[in-house]
Amino acid sequence: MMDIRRLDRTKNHPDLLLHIDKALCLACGACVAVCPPDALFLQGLRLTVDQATCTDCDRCAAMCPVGALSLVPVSAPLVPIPPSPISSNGRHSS
Amino acid sequence: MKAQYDVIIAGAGPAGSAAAIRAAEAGLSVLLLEKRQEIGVPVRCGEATDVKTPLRFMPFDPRWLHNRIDHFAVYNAQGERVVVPPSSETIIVDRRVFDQALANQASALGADVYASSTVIGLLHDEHGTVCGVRLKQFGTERAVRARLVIAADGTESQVARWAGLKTIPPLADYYTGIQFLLGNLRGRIDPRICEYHIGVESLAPGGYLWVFPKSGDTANVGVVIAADRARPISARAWLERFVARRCPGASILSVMAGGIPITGALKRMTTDGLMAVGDAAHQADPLTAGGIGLGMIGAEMAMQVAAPALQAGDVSARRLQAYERLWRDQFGRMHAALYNMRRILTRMTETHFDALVRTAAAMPLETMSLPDIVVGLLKNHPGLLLEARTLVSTGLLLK
Repeated sequence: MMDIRRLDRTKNHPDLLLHIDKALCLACGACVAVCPPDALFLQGLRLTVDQATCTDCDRCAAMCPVGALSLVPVSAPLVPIPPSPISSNGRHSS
Repeated sequence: MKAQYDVIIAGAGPAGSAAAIRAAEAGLSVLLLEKRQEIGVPVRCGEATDVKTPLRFMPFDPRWLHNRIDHFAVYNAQGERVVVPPSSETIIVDRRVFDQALANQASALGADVYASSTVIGLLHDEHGTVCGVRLKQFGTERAVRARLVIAADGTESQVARWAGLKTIPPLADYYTGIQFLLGNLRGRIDPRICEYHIGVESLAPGGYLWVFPKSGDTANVGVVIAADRARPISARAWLERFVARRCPGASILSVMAGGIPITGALKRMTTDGLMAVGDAAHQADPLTAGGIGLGMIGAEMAMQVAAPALQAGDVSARRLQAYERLWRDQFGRMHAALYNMRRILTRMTETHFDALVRTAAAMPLETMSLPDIVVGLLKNHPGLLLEARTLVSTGLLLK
């Protein structure tokens, strides 16, 4: 497995990743509607982000009614990203 | 479920069910699909609508009527208010019961209706025309063919996006919102009055708060703010502040959230073999974001064009575009005016708006026409003239 961020030139902020705060998220889907690359998925009450598709554009974070989305620094050293779609929950020790 | 239908509709909200009703009435075979486990749930809406539009689609049923509204009150941040009667008879509905009644009406007319059935992709023929959907129902995937697909899957519509229709507007043209169903409000709300609270700096940046009474002691209380002004303070935080001030000690019976585009309808709402209706086509009112009645009318217009098109065996975008013209002729100018009005309200300082409400509160509004009201306001606030010109040019006022 390799680190997708090193390959993907579409990232706006290679040093940032989208983080979903599951404790705050109401699974309303407001973010899904504004995601240009279609990288957010709502399955039932579970919101997931496909980090490989996400361009860190930050629109979803602006849109979130409860402030559950944010771009967080990638913790060093870089960790491999598992296949998508994946949950970002618990993968960042910000 | 059959292997082929005349029309497949993705989404059983008011617009989707309205489309299903009109399609079934036209003698077409209809499949109406809802991805959620229960139609109408979760409710993501203030639940206010005009009463006339739904009644053109289904008979009245007291089970979906929560409350009748006599007046709207617009408050400034100082608590001063203007009270006006609604432009058409307004009710607060129980969206869960309402949406299910509409879907059931479609069903009674012959449509096949399924919840827990998600459209996961579109089928295209060799010319690229949409000719059906792939769907997932109870864990099983299948393909169902259709002569026409209707995208009625709401603000986060993926069906319209797959068909290449969906544009994603700038964040300034989105509301992000949250609503509480509050209880324990007896004596603190007037069940006959819908309240709007506007304060672009201190209450709801770029948006407004509402109190829509569902009964004598419960109300939908919510906020929308412009998505480009939603940080660092989230919509939820603005709502909590308001509730703490307006009705401290109220109980929160339910929490619902969502986002809504407030651009006015998409320019392109059709492609070969597909039409978008309701929130999927951004048909909500670009000032208040109300969209129940508008979505149903949009769906009706779509079927008005689609039924004869199907009869003639021509579902090309060129033919279906008559729907876009129908919409533009009826709502184009009004939506442009409401859009501009929101921009004006958003740019106005809070002090200015406060003063405007104060002036209007002293006027006998119930006996005045809209142009009279505008003239009265302009006398006291000549600065408004510049902004009023925008409204005149878009046709809302003083035609």
